[in-house]
Amino acid sequence: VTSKLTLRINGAAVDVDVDERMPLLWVLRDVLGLTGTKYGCGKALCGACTVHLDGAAIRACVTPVSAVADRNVTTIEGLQHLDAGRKLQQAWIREDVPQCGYCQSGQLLSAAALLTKNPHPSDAEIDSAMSGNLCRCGTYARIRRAIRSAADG
Amino acid sequence: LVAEVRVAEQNLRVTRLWLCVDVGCVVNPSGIDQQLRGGMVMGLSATVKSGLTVANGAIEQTNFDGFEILRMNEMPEISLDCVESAASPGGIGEAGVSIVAPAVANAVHAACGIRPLRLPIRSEDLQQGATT
Repeated sequence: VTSKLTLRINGAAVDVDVDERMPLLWVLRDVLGLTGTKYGCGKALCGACTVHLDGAAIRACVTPVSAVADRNVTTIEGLQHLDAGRKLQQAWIREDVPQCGYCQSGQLLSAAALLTKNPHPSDAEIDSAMSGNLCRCGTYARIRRAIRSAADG
Repeated sequence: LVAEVRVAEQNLRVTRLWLCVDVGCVVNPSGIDQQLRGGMVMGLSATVKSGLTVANGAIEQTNFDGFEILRMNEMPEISLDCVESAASPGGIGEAGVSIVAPAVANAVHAACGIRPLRLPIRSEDLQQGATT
């Protein structure tokens, strides 16, 4: 059984006709073609699918699409619309952060949620906000440096 | 590679890693830094966290809840140096991975006299008199 829902993705209203229980991740990727949000574990363990729901970082893989209807969702495709997002993009380029890149959308969205709420986080606050995002390439040191650099810039 | 660890009440925490490599002539310093740090993070995950077990012919771990890897808040401080060299450039991919476990195990021995003999190093392996 499908339902007609109106989603607000990166500032635009989008109508979808999907099963209400479908995880937001798969609506973004398979229905809307926004493939910047990645599937990692499917159980909210790794953070690869992180997006913003009304500014807070959430895991799209365990969020039913019905829970986000008529609320603001921001994905990696809309990162540049956020003040913190633009600063982070520049810092990510300066510090040459990504290696394979798979986790980086989620890393950036978690970092953007942190800086929007707390523009000058301590190292401990960065670690705490980012410890839910796994990186198999081990880019943690550069991620931390880029967040600091974006906060200073 | 040299490791610094803290062992307290059977809890192991790796606090610092120092690595010096000779890659010949350094072509891409940023790439070397990425490969080595990434390799050490992966090697350290295998040393202190990630283990696979087999039951009935199948691996039991299916996701990151059973197969944990290092998170940002568990990162040790890492210092990295390259020997200055004019020799032909060599490969550097994965060089950081395999040397972490022996360095950490040696540091554990120096800290508390126990030689861990399996990976990952588990809390029960750090008991006085434990045979691993």
